[in-house]
Amino acid sequence: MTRDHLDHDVADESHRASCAECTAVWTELEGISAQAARLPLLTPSRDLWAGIETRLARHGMTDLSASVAPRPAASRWLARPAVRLAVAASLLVAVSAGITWTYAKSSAPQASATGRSIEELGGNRAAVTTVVQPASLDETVATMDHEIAALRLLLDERRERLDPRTVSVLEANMQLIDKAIAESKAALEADPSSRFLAAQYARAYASKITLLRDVATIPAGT
Amino acid sequence: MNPRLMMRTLTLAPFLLATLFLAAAPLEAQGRRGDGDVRQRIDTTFAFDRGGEVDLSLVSGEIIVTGGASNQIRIVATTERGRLVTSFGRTHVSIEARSVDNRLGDTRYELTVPRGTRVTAHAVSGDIRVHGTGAAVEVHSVSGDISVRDASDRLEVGTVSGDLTVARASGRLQFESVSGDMMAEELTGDLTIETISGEMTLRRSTLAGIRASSMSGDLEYDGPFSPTGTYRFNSHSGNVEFGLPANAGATLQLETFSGRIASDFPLTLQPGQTAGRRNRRMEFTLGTGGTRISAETFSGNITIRRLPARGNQE
Repeated sequence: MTRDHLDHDVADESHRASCAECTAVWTELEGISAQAARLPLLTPSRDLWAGIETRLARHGMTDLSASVAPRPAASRWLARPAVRLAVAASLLVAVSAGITWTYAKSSAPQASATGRSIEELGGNRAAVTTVVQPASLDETVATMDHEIAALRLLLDERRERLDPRTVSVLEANMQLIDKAIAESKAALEADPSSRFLAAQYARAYASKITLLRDVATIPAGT
Repeated sequence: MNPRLMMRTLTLAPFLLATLFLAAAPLEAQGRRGDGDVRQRIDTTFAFDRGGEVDLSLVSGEIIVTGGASNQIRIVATTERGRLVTSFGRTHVSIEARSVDNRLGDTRYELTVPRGTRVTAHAVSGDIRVHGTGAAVEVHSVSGDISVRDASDRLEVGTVSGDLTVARASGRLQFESVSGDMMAEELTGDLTIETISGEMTLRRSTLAGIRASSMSGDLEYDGPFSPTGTYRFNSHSGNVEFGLPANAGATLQLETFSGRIASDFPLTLQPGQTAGRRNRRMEFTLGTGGTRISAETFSGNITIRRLPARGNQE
């Protein structure tokens, strides 16, 4: 569904000349890439970026802003638009999960969320492989908000190409998550030392990022 | 050649060629309706290795895959509009529905495969049913419903709003939904569930471990629990409910910020535990311990039911 469905020969200019579907996908991709290029979060700080950059470089993809350029045959899989969206989204999730983990680690001395794994803190399926520097809660949340905004851009870019019923379901569930974030945030502000509330707060954030990432991989026109 | 015979031959040539073409390709038919819609149908049967793989995707319609004792694969695929892109081999089959002129009507795949065939299926609004394959299954649908029965080794299912029904699955199990409800029974292995607002109900399963999380959806499990297993339930506002045999041996960690904790078992607070109006946290051990169960919610209720004693709980 997210593989060849959208992207057959989409990078082929001569093919696009006779294919309205691929032209639309190409235009959409250029728009997203242009938006992504304007986002400072795509050059994340901290040691995490080095590992991500290395992995992306192995696939010939070091600059998302230039990702609309046709890829060599060896990178054909990565050249697919849906995959590119997923990679971009996953990248953001990886960074966010890393920051969630950072918060958990940095909070340890204050007996807040000590000794918990990324999964327990709501990291879900995102892989975190790099040790990062401590960050304050405010810093963590600000960065995650920034990245959520970026994923929101992906959703907004694709909104008109998705089934309105699907968009409606996604929006309703996004509101549920936002409510959970607000509730756990308020509770945490009242009891900043609670590792339980910190974990609930982080889990809600991770759920939102995961949902937005999933949206990025839903095929257009559906 | 007789000029009259030659003329007749030339006149008939297109029809003869068409006849030859149809005889050589009996598996596939394609026609153009009066309204301009393309309809394509594939009906074929050929030898297929056990342990082979099928990879299917469509937008709307239905995917049905059924495992059987035969060492052949039977494929019946139709699409109202658009075209089917296929790859048929002895170990791998793929079918994908693509639009034509931005149009793609309902598509239907019905496959009978040798038991042991791995199945990957994706749909957008289409329903997916994979029964009796006895091997790894990976299925995703956006709004379609999913039904999987008799999968093993690995099962990965995901929906946005479609409902999920699973029976008799084993191995590494991963269920995800946004708002779709999930009903599963007779599971063995390790299960991971993530949902936002879907309801999750697990019955008659023997899982070595569970990691279940939801935002507002309820989570319900009636066991049994493995003496060496770890079971984690977390929800923001959904309720968590599970049943334990009267003779269970388990260590339980329960925590909720504003929800209620109700138990058919007596809960005795230990030093350092809290049971105020807010932020209740308690740990206790049943029998000799063993099974580790944690349930956490922000505002959802946690309920522990007592089930009849079972023979091998301790």
